[in-house]
Amino acid sequence: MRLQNKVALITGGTSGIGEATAILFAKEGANLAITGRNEKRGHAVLDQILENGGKAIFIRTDVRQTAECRHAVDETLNSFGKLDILFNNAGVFYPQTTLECSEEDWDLQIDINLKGTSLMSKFTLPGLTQQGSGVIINNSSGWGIVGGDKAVS
Amino acid sequence: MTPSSKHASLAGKVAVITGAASGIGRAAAILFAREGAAIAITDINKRGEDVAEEIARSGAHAFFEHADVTQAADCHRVVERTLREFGGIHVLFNNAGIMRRASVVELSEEDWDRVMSVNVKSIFLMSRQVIPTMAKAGGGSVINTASGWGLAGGPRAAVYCASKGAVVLLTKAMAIDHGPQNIRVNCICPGDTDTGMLRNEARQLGEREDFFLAQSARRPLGRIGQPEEIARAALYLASDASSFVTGSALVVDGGGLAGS
Repeated sequence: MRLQNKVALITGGTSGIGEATAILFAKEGANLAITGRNEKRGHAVLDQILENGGKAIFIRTDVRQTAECRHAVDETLNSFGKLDILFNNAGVFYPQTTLECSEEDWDLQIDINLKGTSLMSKFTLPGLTQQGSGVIINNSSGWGIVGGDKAVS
Repeated sequence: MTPSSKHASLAGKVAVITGAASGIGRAAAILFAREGAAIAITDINKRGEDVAEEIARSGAHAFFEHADVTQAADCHRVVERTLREFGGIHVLFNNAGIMRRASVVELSEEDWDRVMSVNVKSIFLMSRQVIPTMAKAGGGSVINTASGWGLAGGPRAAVYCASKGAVVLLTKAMAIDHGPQNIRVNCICPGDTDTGMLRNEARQLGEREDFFLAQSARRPLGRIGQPEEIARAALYLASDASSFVTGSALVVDGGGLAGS
């Protein structure tokens, strides 16, 4: 149990990599705060963890919104008393060139993929600093290291 | 070299330069004009008018269009006027940029949005206006100002690093998408350069300017860069001298990143 007594918050934890990570972290003994925009999928992940004897909560959160990010961190602290690991995993991807991408799609991708990471970290860091330790993991992409086609934003 | 010289490396070309009222953008406008290009200068700072006048006095063609490049309508207006007055666009230098020295904890949401909009979204908004014109004309060169801090992180500069890292990869993604239309897309990664933005950093950090500049000079070449030195790198990417170069991040930093 490599994460015994740790508390982890995972954004975009309702599907895909976030979901798999939540289940794995719970198996390793962590208490999980799962966030995402889709309540139904969030509760499905939550049920999986609870059925296996893990501890978890779901907090409906849109990481583009400052108040919701603050609320997610506060709720985690209220439920578990501390926060040790933040996994900034929420992300969206629309395959588009500069010419195909609308301004709304540009804003959505930048705000979820990048601004959400900054906002969640902003509210998590004071707690990590106070307890003298912590881990922040940001989900990037191979296409954050080399460029790809039809993927401007 | 006179603006009309056939040997000038940008003879007969039209360049749009954002953030051209001061610093690197201003130096590039003056250099590109000297190399024969007609220049559309845009900036949120109305001193861009002075740069246009300076270029016009030297006998080259330039105008200033006041614009906030975070606004799609403003970008559209700049591009429309350039096409109307100069008949085409061969070079787009997306240079507008701002700096906020703060960690994610210190940074306000307003500053996050503003830096991301000016440094990154403006490139998207300008490029999508200009690329169809370039494609129709058989090609062109887009140059984006990134930063050494788009390749390596720096202290208390979270959103600036995020924005400049985004510029580096946006450059590569655009190079892939528009290479088939012979549109080259590259970025420059300047190190600390003697501009208003650098001096403003000292103020933001509450440090003495002379102390801050002395620290900035600590790099293999032992000094900070001059705007003209960054402008010359932009000229290389704008001209046919770089005809096989696309998707690259050209580091121009006096060796600042050489050891990292």
